[in-house]
Amino acid sequence: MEPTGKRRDEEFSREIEAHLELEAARLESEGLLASEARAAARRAFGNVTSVRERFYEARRWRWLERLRLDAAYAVRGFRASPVFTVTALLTLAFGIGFNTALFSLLYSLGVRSLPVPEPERVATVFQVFSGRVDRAVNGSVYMLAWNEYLAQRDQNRTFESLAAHAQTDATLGGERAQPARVTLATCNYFSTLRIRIALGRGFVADDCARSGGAAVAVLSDAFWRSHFGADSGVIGKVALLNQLPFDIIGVAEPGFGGTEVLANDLWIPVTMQPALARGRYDQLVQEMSWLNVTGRLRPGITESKASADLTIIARQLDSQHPGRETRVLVQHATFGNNPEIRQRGGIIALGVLGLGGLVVLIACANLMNLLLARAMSRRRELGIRLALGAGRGRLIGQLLTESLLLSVAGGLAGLIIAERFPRFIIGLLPMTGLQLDLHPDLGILGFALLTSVLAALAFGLAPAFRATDLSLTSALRNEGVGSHGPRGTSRLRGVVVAVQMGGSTLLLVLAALFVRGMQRVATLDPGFATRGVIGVSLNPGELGYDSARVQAVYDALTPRLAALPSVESWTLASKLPFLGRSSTPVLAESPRAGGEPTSIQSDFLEVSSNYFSTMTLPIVRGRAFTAVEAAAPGDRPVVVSETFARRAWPDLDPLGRHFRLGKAAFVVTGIARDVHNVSLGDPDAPFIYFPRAASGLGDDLGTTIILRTGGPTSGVTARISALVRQVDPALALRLETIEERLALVALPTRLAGMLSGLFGVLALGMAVIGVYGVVSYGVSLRRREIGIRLALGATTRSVTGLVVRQGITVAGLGVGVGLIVAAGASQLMRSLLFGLSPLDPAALAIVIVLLAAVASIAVLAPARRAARIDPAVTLREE
Amino acid sequence: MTTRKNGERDALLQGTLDLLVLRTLRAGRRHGQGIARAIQQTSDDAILVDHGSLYPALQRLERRGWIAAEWGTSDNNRKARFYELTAAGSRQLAREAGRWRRLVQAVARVLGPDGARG
Repeated sequence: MEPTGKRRDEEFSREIEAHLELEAARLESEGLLASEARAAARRAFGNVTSVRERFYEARRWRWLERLRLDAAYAVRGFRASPVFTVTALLTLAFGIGFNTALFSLLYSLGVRSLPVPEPERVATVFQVFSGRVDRAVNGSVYMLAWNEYLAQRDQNRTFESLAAHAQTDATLGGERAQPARVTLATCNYFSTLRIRIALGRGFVADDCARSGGAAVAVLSDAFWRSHFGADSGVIGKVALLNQLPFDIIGVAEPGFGGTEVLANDLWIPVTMQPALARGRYDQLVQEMSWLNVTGRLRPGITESKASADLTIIARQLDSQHPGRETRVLVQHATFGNNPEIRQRGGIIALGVLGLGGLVVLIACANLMNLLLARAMSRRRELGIRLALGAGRGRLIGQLLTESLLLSVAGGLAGLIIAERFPRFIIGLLPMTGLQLDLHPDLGILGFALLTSVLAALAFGLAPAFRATDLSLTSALRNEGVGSHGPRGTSRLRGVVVAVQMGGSTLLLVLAALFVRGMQRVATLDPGFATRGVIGVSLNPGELGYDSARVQAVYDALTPRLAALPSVESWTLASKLPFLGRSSTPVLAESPRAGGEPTSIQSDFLEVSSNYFSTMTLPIVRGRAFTAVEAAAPGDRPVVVSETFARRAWPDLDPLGRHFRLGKAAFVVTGIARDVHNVSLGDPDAPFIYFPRAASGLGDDLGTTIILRTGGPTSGVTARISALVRQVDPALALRLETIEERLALVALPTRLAGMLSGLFGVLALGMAVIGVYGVVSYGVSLRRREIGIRLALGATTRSVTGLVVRQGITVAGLGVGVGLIVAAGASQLMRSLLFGLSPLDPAALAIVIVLLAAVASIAVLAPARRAARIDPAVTLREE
Repeated sequence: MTTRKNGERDALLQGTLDLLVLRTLRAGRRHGQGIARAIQQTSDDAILVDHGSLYPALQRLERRGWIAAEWGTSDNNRKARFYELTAAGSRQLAREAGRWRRLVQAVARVLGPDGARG
């Protein structure tokens, strides 16, 4: 056993003492006086204390001291080669920066605490059901119903306070109606979150005492500033929400925009829900998932303890729902806690971070190449240090310190990109008021640091081992032997460059596919008119108008709209195509007499009889229903799509056949061609065109006036707004064009295309430098060989060919592997490609031509240099 | 370069001292002072071992398992720490000695017969 610590110190002292005595004894035997001998022994030994110090240092502070020395040495080295250093730093800054940027987006959504005071104890509550689940949902099934919230609030023993809220869109009245985000909140919402009311008062328990009891509202600070000019006299004024007057009682503290990711404008008591909905649905009575529950845990209570506590309460409610089992999920509160978001977000996060990781990897590959090249030019220096007794581990440590220093410095620079880039992405998104906190905190800094360290190991380890694997004599003579020399290293560099080419190929193929996907959206014909089609949606229902008054609004408005000079045709439908999905199961009569009916899940629209002519949607068999037929009693007429007919009645004439939806029966009068009504890339799906208000699926379907104009829509929209205001100034108007919807449909593709394109070009730039470097280096190593070949009569053409072959092999290998991986990856991106083949020849061709062109330039320059080698010179060189 | 400074300070390169220590111990176990003395004598006083560098070198060699140490009594009846070559140490000695000879030959070839001009 090796003695440690104090005992070892003592032993070392004793050993030195012994030495001094022995040496003194020897000198004495040679004739010196005892005192002289002792002094001479000490002299010969040198400074005893300094030796002890060296021994001491060797054990304790050596590593720290070494790190300092290594860092100082590294900095000196960087100063000596500024081009290398700047290239490396930029590469790392971009690589780590983009990766951290993508991470910080996910992080601010799913990890960062809510922007409230003392967020550590704030937690969200969701329910996860298993077994038989039969409940209404408004939002997501994981949310709580009102009765469930009340049970949890009153019976739990783990929360100090439990609040609930639901965010909804409403129309803010006044002279110019406009949409506003309203949160229905329990009256303990602000106190639970410890949000201060800066002006006026917050909710009190009385405000939530009964349904429709208190029509009061609290404004967000931002909304108060933008819509009320920060008027301190706003308290007591009235805000019209869906034409319902609410007294403004307070303004929340600055900076608070609610607990949803979209910043909130007004809060009203949760008990105002039925009133706000004009009594059309009462979510305080129904068992419906609609409430986000957030609470403040008692001190010392963990989320899992609270989950257990709340699950017991939920199980008691399960007793009224045989076959259902509820588990309550209490999580530290973030914006993205809903399990639905977590599940989908997980996949997206994996993709996004995979992309970021690829960028870092390519950056690392580039740096590794730079370092390998540098290692070769430092062989002499390293050889000398080895000769002077530096251990190999020590040298590897030194080289890794350099990598680490570079990487962390690059990572710090990358934080600037990490903060700017997400804002740029958010700017591209269609929604406003995203309240994502992207400021770097410990989590984001930690991620950047971890990425930096991993990157340093990824690009630094192999060159460090390679550079120090020297035999002393050969290093001093500055020449290579076998696989340890430059040849082996150039092979490693070749592999690295191949990986880089592969990575950039992957990114570029994806980018090209996304760009082609976007083109496809522009040229893709959904099967009906898209150019100049405007949807005009109004909200008379939300304003509390009865059906007669709603009808009057449309009767007054439609002739005026139809009379606009550029309007060619108009019709009514429940909504514009591409505006979300409405789907219902129907029971189609059996193809065989007396057979069981088949259930078919089908998307649908409710349309007027002239919908088909206005939208130029062809009826391939039979005819559209007439307005008279639609209004007649008995079986309602209906038009179905080709796919619907084929599914329901294969090989039979579908005309005149029936299906049922609830109590209503329908008879097919016509077959419409399969078109894309929901999304562009989707395969043909069953579709039903009901007459208006015939599906019985609720009044909430709404009405959209669809206008087909001849050309651009920009000039028409202003006149439409003016007409609507003439008819009823209280109406909030929403204008949408199919072209806008299509642009929105293409947005994820556009974002993905931009990201992969940007990263792909970056990666390609790095890969080209890599190819150029490897080939040039290969040429410089083979100068002698090439000189001999030329001297022996090889033509310049064959020499060029030799060099080009080397470069093309490396680049081609990478591109080949990249293409294979890209083919696999693009299969996963299908939904973003709008039916475009993941192996789209045009996209692949563009990328291959681009890569070939760029790689040729990188290869040809050194090849031409090789051809100009003068054998007379190179043969004399060594 | 930092190594230049080291070169001026050390009379003997670190790797070389290790080699000499190992070679000396091949003759049998010795204590530190004995090792220093033996090197000096064998080299006809051409190499003066800095006693202050000897002990850190011994520590280093011991840590690498090339030599082993234990306390014993010297010829003149004094307590001292004795060092002994291990099997790994013998192998290391053979390796290092070979490398050293090759280096010396190589340097000699480069310097040539009229090395004085170099």
